[in-house]
Amino acid sequence: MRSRIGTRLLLALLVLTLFPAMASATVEVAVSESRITGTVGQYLNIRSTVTNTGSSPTGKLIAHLNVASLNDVYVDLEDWTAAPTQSLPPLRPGERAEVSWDVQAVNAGVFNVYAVVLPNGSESLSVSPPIHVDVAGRRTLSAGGALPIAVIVPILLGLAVFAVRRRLRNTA
Amino acid sequence: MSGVTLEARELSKWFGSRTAVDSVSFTVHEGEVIGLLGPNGAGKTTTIRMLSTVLAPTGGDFAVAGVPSSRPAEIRARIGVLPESAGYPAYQTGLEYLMYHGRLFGLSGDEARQTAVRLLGQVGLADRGQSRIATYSRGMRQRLGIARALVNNPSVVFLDEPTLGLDPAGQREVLTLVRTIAEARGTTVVLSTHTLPEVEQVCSAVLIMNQGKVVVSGSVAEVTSTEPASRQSGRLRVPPGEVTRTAEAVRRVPGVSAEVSKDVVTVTSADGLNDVLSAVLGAGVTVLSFEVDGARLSDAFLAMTRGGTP
Amino acid sequence: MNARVIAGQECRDLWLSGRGPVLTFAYAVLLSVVTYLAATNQILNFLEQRESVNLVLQIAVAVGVLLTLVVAADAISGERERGTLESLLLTPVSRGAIVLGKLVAAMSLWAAVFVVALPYLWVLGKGVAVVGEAVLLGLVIGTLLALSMAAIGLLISARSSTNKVSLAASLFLLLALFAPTQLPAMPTSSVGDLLVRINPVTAGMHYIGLVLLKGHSWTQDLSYLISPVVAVLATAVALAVTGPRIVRLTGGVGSG
Repeated sequence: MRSRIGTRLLLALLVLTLFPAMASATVEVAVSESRITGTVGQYLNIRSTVTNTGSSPTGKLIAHLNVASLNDVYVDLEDWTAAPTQSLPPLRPGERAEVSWDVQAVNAGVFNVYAVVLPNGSESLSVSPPIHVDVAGRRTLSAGGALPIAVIVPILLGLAVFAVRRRLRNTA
Repeated sequence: MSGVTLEARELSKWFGSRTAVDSVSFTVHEGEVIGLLGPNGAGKTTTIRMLSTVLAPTGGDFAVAGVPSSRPAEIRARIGVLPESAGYPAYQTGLEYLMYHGRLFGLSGDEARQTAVRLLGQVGLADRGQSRIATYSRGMRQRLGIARALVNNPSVVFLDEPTLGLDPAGQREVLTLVRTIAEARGTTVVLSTHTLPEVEQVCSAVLIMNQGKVVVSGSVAEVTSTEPASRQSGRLRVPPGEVTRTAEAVRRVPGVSAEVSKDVVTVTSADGLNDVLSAVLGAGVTVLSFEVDGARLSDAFLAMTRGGTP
Repeated sequence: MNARVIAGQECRDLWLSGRGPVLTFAYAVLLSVVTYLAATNQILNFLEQRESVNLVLQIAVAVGVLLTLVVAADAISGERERGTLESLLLTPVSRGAIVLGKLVAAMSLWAAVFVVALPYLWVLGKGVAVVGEAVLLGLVIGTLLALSMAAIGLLISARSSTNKVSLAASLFLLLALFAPTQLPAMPTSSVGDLLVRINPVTAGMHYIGLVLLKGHSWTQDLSYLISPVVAVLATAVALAVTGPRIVRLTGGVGSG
């Protein structure tokens, strides 16, 4: 029994000695905001910071953004962003890297948006706290508000053109 | 003789391997109206463009009103130029055009307006100053161009083909204007033209160019005398009934030919016309008038330019 | 002083001869149509307010740059062909002042295009606090791009043997610079991003999109403004250095 425990301890020590990076690399993901409100169609800039909090360098990292609906709205991630996955270079202990995504809120509803960092190996995922995103329905512009401008400006410029033409005729 | 106001020394211009002006030297005196003559491609326009600092000479130098060619902006301030085939901004009025150029020569707004109004009056465009240039005839545009050339009260005025494309009345107006400029202002005028009678009418001196070189220069009389007419001719006017007898008497003189037209007998002789007149008087003909043609600039021009097209 | 006189006259020629007002009127009609469609949101489907503002601003900058370039490309070669350049060269005004005056006149068209865009930006952007940002972006980026294009247009105009050559070369250049803006996925690859950054037009337009549309801060992507700023500086220096030599009676390379 004692020898079995001793063998296991010896094995663990060997693993730790041979593969220190894999054994102690830890990555944390933080996001810049906890809550975002917007309207349908609006672009949201999601910024996150990936930090190597372990004592050894990481391998190459992959950061992935995900969107989850909290009120059963269908989410197709490709509609929200064309590039949800980004590669990160290896991080030294204590080193951090900024990753940002421009996502377009294509559906109204309440969502959690979070970033995941996948280590290059069999380590567990690191996940950021979720950003609560509240997307309101589309605010349609009032045609009534735009119409006067769309009519008045060309009319004023048309009058200017007419005045110039008239001046030219008068000096002929 | 008044002072030299324009002096060119060994002025040359090459365009690539082609020589447009080849070591041209001449002087023009204050108040002189000099005619610049030459066939197409003789280098007249290139010479004017160099003297007006629009083109940089390849060789040689010049001075205008005492300012050397190394100070082109100062030269431009002292000269007025009517370029060959000058263009005009169609949408500006004549008044606006002259005022604009007055301002470019450093006049204030008020001074430019006063100068423009005065010059429009001098060139006979007082009543068209407020009209767009697009509505001007070619002659009016040329007169406007001359007014523009005078906007800075220049010491030397270069007029490059000012009568080109004008009808006879337009030509006369422009030439009268040129004479007035020279006489009233005492301005030196360099007049480049194809039309030889214009030079005889207006110019006090002539400079004939051919193939980029000055072939002769001097007063009109001097240039004309360099190539006396090879044959002398004259016109005898006699009573109609005596025309035939006159012609017969003339033809008896050796080396003389006669052409008859109504009451005029035109005679041409290689050795002078004294013998012709003696023969006619000897035949008892009543001579009503006898005109002897003088030597003409065109003879000199054609001889100097080896038959080039004027 | 002389540059001011030339700029004043060039502006009068541009705005009182009918060319400037007609071009601005046509552009205003285009903006009206786009604005109305964006506001009613029936044909331009799925337009969020910021996208509408961005669309109008991008049109304003593109049209402004186009018109400025066209006017600049005509400025010297056009006068040469109309025979009016010689009388200008015969004045004691320096060649530099002539270039500067013409540059200012060309830029007046950009100024007009920008001013006309203001009410459209206001009506499309009100309520989402984006109008001020859009106006400032348009003013900064549009002026940078218009200035560099006007300077390039003048350089091309001075060097061209005919006005047709000048206009054709300028329009080709503009087309080549604007074409990449129509490729949506350019900045996603590193090579594409580099191409976007090198080209002042795509870089400027992309920067507008990032700030206005994607909500980035002004300082977040400042590196995209390197090429527009470099373009302005380079063309201004080129114009100042070569202007006095190339503003002359005859155009074309190697002409006297």
